Amino acid sequence: MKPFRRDRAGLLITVFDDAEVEVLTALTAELSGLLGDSDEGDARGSVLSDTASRARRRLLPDAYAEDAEAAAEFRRFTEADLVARKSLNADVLTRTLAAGSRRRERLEVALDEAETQSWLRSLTDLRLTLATGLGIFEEGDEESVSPENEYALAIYHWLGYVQQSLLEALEA
Amino acid sequence: MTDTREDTRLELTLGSPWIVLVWNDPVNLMSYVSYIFRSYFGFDRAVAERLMLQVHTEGRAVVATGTREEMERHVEAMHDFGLWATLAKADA
Repeated sequence: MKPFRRDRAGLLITVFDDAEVEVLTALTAELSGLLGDSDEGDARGSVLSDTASRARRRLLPDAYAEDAEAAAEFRRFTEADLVARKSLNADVLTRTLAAGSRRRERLEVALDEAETQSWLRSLTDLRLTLATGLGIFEEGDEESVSPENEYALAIYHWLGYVQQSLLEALEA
Repeated sequence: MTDTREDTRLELTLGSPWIVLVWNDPVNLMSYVSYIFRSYFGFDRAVAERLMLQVHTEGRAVVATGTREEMERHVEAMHDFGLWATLAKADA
């Protein structure tokens, strides 16, 4: 991709190549699936895998660190809204990619103000989800990611680059 | 006639204050955290950078103080951004 820049209409634009669009689309679909699944589970236990369940917890952390009851109550009142907003952000990412215009082998994507906000949030959600699978929870954990996860780690870093680039263009 | 809404608000304001803590997570870009502190809380660049660095080096920072209801709204907004935030009683 090229770094984001602001065009004359005030939109933030960039170009992605096909492989990048594919990765973004696939990861976002995964994120949407994760958000769509309930963490409640039934009598047989949670339907989510361990990693998915941990990722969901990371996207929707406890609001009270030392009061489980208050944390559960907060969750009851806010979780559905937060999930809906995160899902909407993921949808915006997918929709803006699908609406991109072809420039030879690449796709030009243009984001307005609201779409930019959705992208910033969804890129974070994608990185939080990937980080959970990679075992990145504390500073320095990146160094101990196993070699078979090298590709996922590269995507994790690349998503950070996309977000950084978007922030720089937004604030330029 | 007594305005009960006013009374409730007064009571909330006088109650012991609550704080919002933002915790360090290696995933969040420092530039993103600083951007959130500026765009959401309205801090100037210097304050936002100082708080962001405090989160990064000390593991957490207090970014807001007020009523429990207000702090819950802030925490929800932080979770919306993808930051790890909690609230607690200020004197706890």
